[in-house]
Amino acid sequence: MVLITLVSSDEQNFPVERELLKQSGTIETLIVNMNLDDEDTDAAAMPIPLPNVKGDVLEKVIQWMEHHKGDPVKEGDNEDNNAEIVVPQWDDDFFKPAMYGSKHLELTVAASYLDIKNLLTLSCKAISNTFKGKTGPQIREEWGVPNEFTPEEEEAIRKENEWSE
Amino acid sequence: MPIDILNLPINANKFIYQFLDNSSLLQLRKVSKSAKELADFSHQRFSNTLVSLLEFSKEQNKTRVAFRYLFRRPSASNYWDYYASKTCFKCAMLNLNISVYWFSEYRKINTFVINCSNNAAYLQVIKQVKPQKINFATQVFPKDTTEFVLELANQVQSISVCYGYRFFGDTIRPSPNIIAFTQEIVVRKCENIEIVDICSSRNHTVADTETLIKILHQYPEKMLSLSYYEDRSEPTDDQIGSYKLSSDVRRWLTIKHFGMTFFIMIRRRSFPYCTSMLHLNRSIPKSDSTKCSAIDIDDARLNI
Repeated sequence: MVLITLVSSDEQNFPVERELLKQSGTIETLIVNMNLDDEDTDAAAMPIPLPNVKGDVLEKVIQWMEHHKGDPVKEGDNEDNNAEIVVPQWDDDFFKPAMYGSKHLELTVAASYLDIKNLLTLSCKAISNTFKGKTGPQIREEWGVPNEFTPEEEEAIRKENEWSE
Repeated sequence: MPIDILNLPINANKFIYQFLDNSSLLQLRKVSKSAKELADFSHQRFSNTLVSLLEFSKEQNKTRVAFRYLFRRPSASNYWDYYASKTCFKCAMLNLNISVYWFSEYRKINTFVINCSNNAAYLQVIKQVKPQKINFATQVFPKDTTEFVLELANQVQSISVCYGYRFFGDTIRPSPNIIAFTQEIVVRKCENIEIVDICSSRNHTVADTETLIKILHQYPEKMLSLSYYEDRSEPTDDQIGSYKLSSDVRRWLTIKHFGMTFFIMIRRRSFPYCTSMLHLNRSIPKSDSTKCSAIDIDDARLNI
């Protein structure tokens, strides 16, 4: 089993099975560019730095990739199919502890940076699920978004929305 | 620096908003400025849309309503009368059970078109969308349509009604008498009214013109523009009160009323298109004469 070492922004090393990394478009490109798949290359001696991902987040990403090992890798955006995506129970449980917090958002940003489409899609779906059935102020409170509207702006938006609500 | 929900990478935002239904998108518009922008952005690569005009046209047995609105780029700030997002349009249509609609774009003016089966449904849309202006053009103008237009005039600030046109070989279609119609529409809430009667079979008399001018005088607070076809066999030189009218044969007569200043414009119908400004010799004090600059020639083919 070939292991490739990922290095997080806080200098933590994570040896990861080569097969798992096929889910990440970014890492896959780096592997190709660094010739890490060549038999002559000592992959273990060439860690891949990921300066935009912290150790605790990278650990979660690897955990997610291990669970989804062997899943077909999503190609392109496939927007038409996205609307019907359901977050599987395992993933729901995976995201839930971090929900409404910066950890979930950091995971989403990491999925975007690492180009792990399935993780990004499910993570975003989980976020969008938290908006459903909530009012604007409820969403604001749950996600800790400060209210930046003046009363006049709030009134203007209310008027714009009122005939379609 | 902590990441916040509204500052995710653009592809993440795209996914999130794509998963949301219209009601959630509307609620997101209330969360923050960036969330509002994103909610609007989610349907169109522009931030906002502007309802500038609602066009209603009825041709033979076909009917359609077109909401003409302009997308506003974030950096632009022109033409603001009323705006709503595409999200709002979609929601409104959903609530009105109107499923057949589409968006199109022509010369950067984006048009929203719906088809529905009856005037009541259109009226409901208009009440919801609240456009500033309605352009109503129709070939057929039966009584129920007249009542519908009069109701429209109660809903908007500005209305333009054009009727009576027909294609070559068409039979003459029913249309309201401009005097009766003007008397009805002028009492509605609408402040700016334009009526264009191009029913060429009708023969208006000087007495009709006099009646119309009297109506205009009764409502000085309204902005009125009346155009109709005068089919005269002889050139005329008429006097109506303090107004002196003269025209050649077969020309359009337009009466405009801006405040208490009248403009009368005659258009020749036949080729080559040309027009002569006509008078009107109402005694306008010199201090008011600048109002004359408001004369509106709206057809580029016309030569004064």
